[in-house]
Amino acid sequence: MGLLVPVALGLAAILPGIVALYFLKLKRREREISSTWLWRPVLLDRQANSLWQRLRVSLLLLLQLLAAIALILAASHPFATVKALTAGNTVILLDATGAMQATDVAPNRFASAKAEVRRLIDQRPPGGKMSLILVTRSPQILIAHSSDSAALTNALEHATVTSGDGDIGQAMSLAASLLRGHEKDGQVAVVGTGHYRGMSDVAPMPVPVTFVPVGSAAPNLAVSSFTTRLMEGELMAFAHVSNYGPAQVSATAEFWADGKLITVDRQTLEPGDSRAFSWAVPLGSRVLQIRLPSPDGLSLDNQAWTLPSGQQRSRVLLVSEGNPFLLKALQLVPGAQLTTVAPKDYAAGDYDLYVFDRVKEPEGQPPGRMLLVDPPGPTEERFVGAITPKQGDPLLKYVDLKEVHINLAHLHTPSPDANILWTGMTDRGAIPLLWTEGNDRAVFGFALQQSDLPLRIAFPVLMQNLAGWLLPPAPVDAPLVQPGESVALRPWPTATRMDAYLPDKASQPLVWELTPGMNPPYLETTSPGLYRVVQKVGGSDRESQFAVNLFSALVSDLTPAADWKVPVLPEAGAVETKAPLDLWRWLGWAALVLVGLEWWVYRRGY
Amino acid sequence: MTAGRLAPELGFTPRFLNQLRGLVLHNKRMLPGPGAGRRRSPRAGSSVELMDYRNYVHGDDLRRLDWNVLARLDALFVRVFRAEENLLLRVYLDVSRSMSFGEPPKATLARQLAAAVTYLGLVGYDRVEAAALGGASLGYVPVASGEPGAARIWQFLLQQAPEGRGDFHRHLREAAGRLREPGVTMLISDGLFEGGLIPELKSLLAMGHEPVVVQVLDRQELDPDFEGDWRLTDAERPDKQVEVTLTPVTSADYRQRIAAYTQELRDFCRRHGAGYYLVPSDTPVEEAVFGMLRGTLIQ
Repeated sequence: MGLLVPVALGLAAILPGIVALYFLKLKRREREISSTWLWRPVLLDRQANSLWQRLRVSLLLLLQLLAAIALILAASHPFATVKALTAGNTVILLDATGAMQATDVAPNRFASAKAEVRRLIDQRPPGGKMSLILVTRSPQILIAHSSDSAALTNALEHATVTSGDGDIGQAMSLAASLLRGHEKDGQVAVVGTGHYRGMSDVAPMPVPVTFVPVGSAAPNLAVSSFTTRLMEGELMAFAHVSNYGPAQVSATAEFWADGKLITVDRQTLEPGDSRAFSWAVPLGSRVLQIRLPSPDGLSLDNQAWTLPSGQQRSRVLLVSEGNPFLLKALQLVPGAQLTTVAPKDYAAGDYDLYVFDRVKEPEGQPPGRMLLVDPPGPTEERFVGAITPKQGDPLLKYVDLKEVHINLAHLHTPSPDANILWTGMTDRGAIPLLWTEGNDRAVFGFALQQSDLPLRIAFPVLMQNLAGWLLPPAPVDAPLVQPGESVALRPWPTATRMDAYLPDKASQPLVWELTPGMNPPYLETTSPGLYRVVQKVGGSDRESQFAVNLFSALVSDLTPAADWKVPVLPEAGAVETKAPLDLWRWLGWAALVLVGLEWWVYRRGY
Repeated sequence: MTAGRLAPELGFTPRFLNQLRGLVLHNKRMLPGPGAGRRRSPRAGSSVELMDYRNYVHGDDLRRLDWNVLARLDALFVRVFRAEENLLLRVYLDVSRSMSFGEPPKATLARQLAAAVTYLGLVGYDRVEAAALGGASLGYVPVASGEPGAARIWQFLLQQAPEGRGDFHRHLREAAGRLREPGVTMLISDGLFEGGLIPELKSLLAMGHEPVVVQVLDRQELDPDFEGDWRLTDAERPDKQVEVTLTPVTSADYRQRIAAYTQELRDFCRRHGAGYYLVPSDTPVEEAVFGMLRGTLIQ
């Protein structure tokens, strides 16, 4: 205990004054009345005191003195020293991951965490500085090195919770940078659930780190995966449901297709258990959804979406005199709608990919993606020896060149910015065998018939890779998008406009006017659900969707981490911080109550 | 000096005086009086009201023999008539200093009521005596009768100022004992003095009087509305002071006590056949006479 403003105790000089005033004879107004006969019994116990009369116990005086003492003490700011999480320089990491939307504490964990941070702000030592970092997928600094309570509280009030997980590695890195130079009086407090990505990336902290858990082990069922797969010619949907709660539960799973309930299954799950559900997907279904209707601690992970593959089809034109290898490989490209024409019948059309097999690229070819196989021209033929692939290029992933030989290749001259994938050694030096130009053209420098490549497993793999690179992309390239992730949207090559609709029907769509050469737009996903992308290509709209699902054990596991620790440097762990807890507010309230009580006693005439 | 000239000083209008002439004082008991008047007497006399028959005895006035009875029954009966006598009305006015309290002062209405009641008695051929109690000394005006006596009594009443600090109790006993004759005794006072009015009423009853109490109180005395720190001084005994911080609780306590006192007076009077009237001092005299007293004391 101590006093922050001890000089205020000098106000105690007013106490004798109160006593003196109380026992001084009151200045009374005079009044003559007919008779005091009936007044005397009334006033028997209420007559006031004469000048400096003998002290006697008075409830009113006692209450007035107590109220005055409480006010004097409040003015002197007494404080109690308590163990505090705050120090001279404190960085608070406020968990804003999806788990903080859990409602096991009212109204939710995030509000509860904010209240805890507010308390820490109040506990700050005099002059103590504080920084707030929001722990999300991309942690952000809300306010740095502020000793202004109002600014800190304002920054805290503007913090919002996200639906994704959080990266503690980045957050700790930010905290360490904020505390650089303040290691001696620095402190980090993490307020949240304790389940984050990047725990292994946390570098040893130079200051003590304290964890303030929020919430309890709440029941929670979560969809941990949801996908489709072709099984013996039938498209099946598979889902995994996990029980992150502390008790056994009976999980009910609803399977929906295109907004219609198809079936309901039920399984019993032990704590920590995960069970698979599977359903046959109705033919022609475009959007599949799983729902767990039972309410639990977190509703965010109670549903998931998936889109059966093959929804988006790309148009491919093969211009060839006949090449069964190429034909077969292109037929295997998922989502490709292949058309074959002879060179003499060729006419440009609305195709996403043109494949010219030993055919010269026509004059006036409209812009589009192109695969040229051994384009004819005034080139020199050479015999090829060893083939040297470019190391690490994603287009050559899983392409095994063992047992692949090329007999004869033409010497072409790729453009200067070409990406040479294969080089062949000839008796007159190395020549390019396979390369890409820009982002819309791939060229084989040899005829497939002059190679045993089509007979090797490497061929379909290579064709898949090239088709994946050349064909118009799905709106997003990530197979699994989680809330909070920024995804690069991949527009159709000839699209002029792209609209993205969020799952929240009330929000306005995001619109991009597309120009050639512009960087692909990025979309910040916020919540799980179906995101719809509409592109204007030519005169028509091409609509596609992608699903954002939580599928994160870090978010779904609501049990606050026990014994949560991050590595700290040896000299940082021993610091124990204490902070004064100012008691003036309590004393002020006590004085107010006492004054109210004194008024009541006075009115009652006791 | 005639009563008509003094009426304005008392605040009486000619219309009010005319209205008073149409009223008579009513007493609950029949009391014998010393002289003939208009009031029924318990004694036999010579009025027109037949009271009884009795056997004729020698010497009776033959004019009172009932000839019809004699003719039918052949018996001699004499008719006995009720005597009509006058009444002794005593009006005792409290002129102690406490009567000057109030807004308007209680003494104003008390004097007006005394004047009105004495006038009623005089025009009703009763004998009226007025006395002022609680002044420096006992003041009274001898018994008067008939309307001409009103001027003397009213002159006396107008001369009484409520400034006395005399002994009300002693004055009352002295005044009541002057004439050992029963009658109606009207006591007009605030009744606010040590011990209250009940001991005085007991004395009057013991002397055969029919007391009537008219208690005049200011509204502040019935319901005090002042709060704060006060030094209250007794109007008649300046040594009796109380210093008090008035709160709603203490005011309520006082209101309870004054209500209990007036109720005690009312109950005592009802038990002993006496009249009791509580009149706030701001009541106009017309309303007090025709509204509060008429029907019981005045008819």
